[in-house]
Amino acid sequence: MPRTREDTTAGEGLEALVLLCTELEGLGPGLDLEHISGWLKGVVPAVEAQVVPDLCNRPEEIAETFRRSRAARVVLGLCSRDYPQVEVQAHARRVGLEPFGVEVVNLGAYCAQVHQRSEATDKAKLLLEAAVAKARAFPGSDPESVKPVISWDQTVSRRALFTLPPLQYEPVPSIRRGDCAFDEGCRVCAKTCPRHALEPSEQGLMVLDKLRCTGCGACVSACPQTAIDLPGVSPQQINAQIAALLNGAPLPIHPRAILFVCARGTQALEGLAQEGFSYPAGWLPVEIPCVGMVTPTWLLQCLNLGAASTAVLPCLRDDCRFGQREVTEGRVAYCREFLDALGAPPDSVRLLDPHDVGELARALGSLPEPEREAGKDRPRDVALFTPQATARALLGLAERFASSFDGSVAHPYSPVGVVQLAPGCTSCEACVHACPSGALSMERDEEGRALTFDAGLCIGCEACAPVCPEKVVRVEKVTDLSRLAQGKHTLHLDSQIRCEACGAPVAPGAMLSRIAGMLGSEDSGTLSFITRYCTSCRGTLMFGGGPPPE
Amino acid sequence: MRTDRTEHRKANGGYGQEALELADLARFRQAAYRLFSTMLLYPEEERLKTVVAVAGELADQADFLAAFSFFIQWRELLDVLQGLSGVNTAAIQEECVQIFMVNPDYAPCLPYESAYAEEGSNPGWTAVELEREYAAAGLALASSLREAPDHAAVELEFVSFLCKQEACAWEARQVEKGIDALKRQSAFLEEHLSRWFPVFARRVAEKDSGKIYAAVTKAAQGFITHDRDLLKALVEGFGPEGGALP
Repeated sequence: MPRTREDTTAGEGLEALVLLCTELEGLGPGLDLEHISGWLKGVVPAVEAQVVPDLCNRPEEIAETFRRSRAARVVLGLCSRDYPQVEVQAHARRVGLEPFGVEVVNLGAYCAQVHQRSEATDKAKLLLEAAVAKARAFPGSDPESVKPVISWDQTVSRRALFTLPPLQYEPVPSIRRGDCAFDEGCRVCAKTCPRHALEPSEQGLMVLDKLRCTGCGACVSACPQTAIDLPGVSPQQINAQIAALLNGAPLPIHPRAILFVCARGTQALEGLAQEGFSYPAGWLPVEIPCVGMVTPTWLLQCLNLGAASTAVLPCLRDDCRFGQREVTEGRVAYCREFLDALGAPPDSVRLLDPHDVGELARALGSLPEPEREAGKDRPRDVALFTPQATARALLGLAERFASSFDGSVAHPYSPVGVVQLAPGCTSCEACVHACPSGALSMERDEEGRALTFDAGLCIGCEACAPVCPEKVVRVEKVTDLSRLAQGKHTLHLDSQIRCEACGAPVAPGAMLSRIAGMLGSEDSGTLSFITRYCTSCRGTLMFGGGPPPE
Repeated sequence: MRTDRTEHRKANGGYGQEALELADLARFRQAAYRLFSTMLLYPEEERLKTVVAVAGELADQADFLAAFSFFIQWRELLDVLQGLSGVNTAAIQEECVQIFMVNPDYAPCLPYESAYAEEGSNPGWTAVELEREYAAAGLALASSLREAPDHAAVELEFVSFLCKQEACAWEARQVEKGIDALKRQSAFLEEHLSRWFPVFARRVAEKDSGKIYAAVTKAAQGFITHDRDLLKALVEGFGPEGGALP
């Protein structure tokens, strides 16, 4: 029987295969490919590395190497992003590899053409190690996480009308039903999607309209349950890549900074390379489908993990997948304001302009020394996606900069919020059920109940406020460090009224008071009856000869 | 760095893809649906021989098929089917019975839409609705077919028939008819197969220790999902907004 890639495990054949194009050797100052290949084999476990002649232009060579190898994951180190993607994907499928699990690293524009040879070689090693980590973290895809994209020819001919136009495949998000909190009322992904591609179905599920979806990934980073995968940039892949870039094998790349690059915006960096600009090798590109994915948590957590700086490079195009550049601007502005409040350099987080190559080169031209060198005393837990990660990043940075600031930063793009409760809460729990991240909860004991709030879990989504029937819940888009450090605390305490007949819970005391207020004194008999007995005993008493209502 | 070959590939409308006539695509899809339909009927000896022969032909076309994303699921099926020639027919028949019909250990995975679509609704309604759809297309269930209208094989065979109509329309250069056939298939997949088949396939994957029917339903599900998405994209492109029509 032919092999199945899914069965391949460490120790049984090769786990990851890295292929490097020979042309990288002579591209600009170039790369020392033999050295890179030997380093990868020696340092990164279960990796086979090969230098392949003219790889970028010979997809058939890729196919042949795929066939010969037993690797479960493949990383291609190429001269540019301009490679035969559709053909490579088909060759991958042919041998049972997941096409979206094949990682491509643009070693030409990111290393060979913009840095001195030794520096470029070290940076290439780091990028390839991170790509291997990312490829290994690929969770797999299913038919629902792929969509065919047809490129319709603008010039219509009779022949073209009867011919299938060129077909490509793009990854789209897929929701892991077991982890999705739709049943609990979570609608964060639908609220985040700029194209309204995620909507509740008649069957009571959150479903994706693939035609509308542009694959920007905004829902992936917004989901508080990390229940959404997008092949190529699933949460575990991004976490693995960032971890390897900041905490991987020791290499003389220092300081390190993370550059989140829109996959459609890479030509700006290629433009730098072509025009002979250089910038510090510590800028480590992380390609994502759209900068709409990048949250304040990503930007700040990377700093917390030891990055000297983080930056966002959007695409050049007007037809941005996300289409909400102001959101990205707002998120970066928030990060800068928060850093400023801490007394940290706000310039540690930057939004770059891809339109002017010279300006871009200047913006990337310097890197500050980080307070803590990447790789030394850094937090080990690299997580960018959960609400807890946000709290850890914010508190970690406050600690890192030894900031005495314990106030709050009010900002519309604050990734956390603070729930405030005005008098009048009836403990109905509507807000608890609406909260997608578990920041609000109701705790009960024999005597009563307590509505609690944990600022460390709040994502500031504001789902709780509109569902409150008493309109006493208010969410402030505020980063309040003292509240974050405080953890769970009580917002409202209430008594539990019990049935005089059987002892079962009747309702919270505040709720009954509210009902009493609504009914007034005109119907005090009914009021007394419903506040003393549970629903079950009320029926028994009314129809079974018990004491009549007072 | 980039050679003429790259430019040539780009100029030809995409890497690694030969221009594919819509009629040929429809004929291929017609055959694929028929194959899946056949594989989900009771595996009589002659039927199995046909399936094995077709699997061999498909394996020869693997380089072409790998251009489509559903090949990831098909590859496993082709491996399984090619190994069928050495398997005892009685063993496959027993696997079929245990998975779909009678099993002492668990409830069988019923290959009927009504088993998935009618939870809490009017029993029998699905079959009535399907018979109406078949009649609207000029079809009726053959008396020799001992299956209900909502059996997976019958629904797949119906889509195969619609693909054939589409192929005929393209071959006769009848654009409007071709587009109508695309819309009809798209609607049927959306309303029926893509709603229940994934759940059915998942149950089979959980229960099928023999792996043959798990591979069949996984590949069929991958193909149905791909087809639903491809047809939507084609219909949208041909529509008034798509602007592909002159």
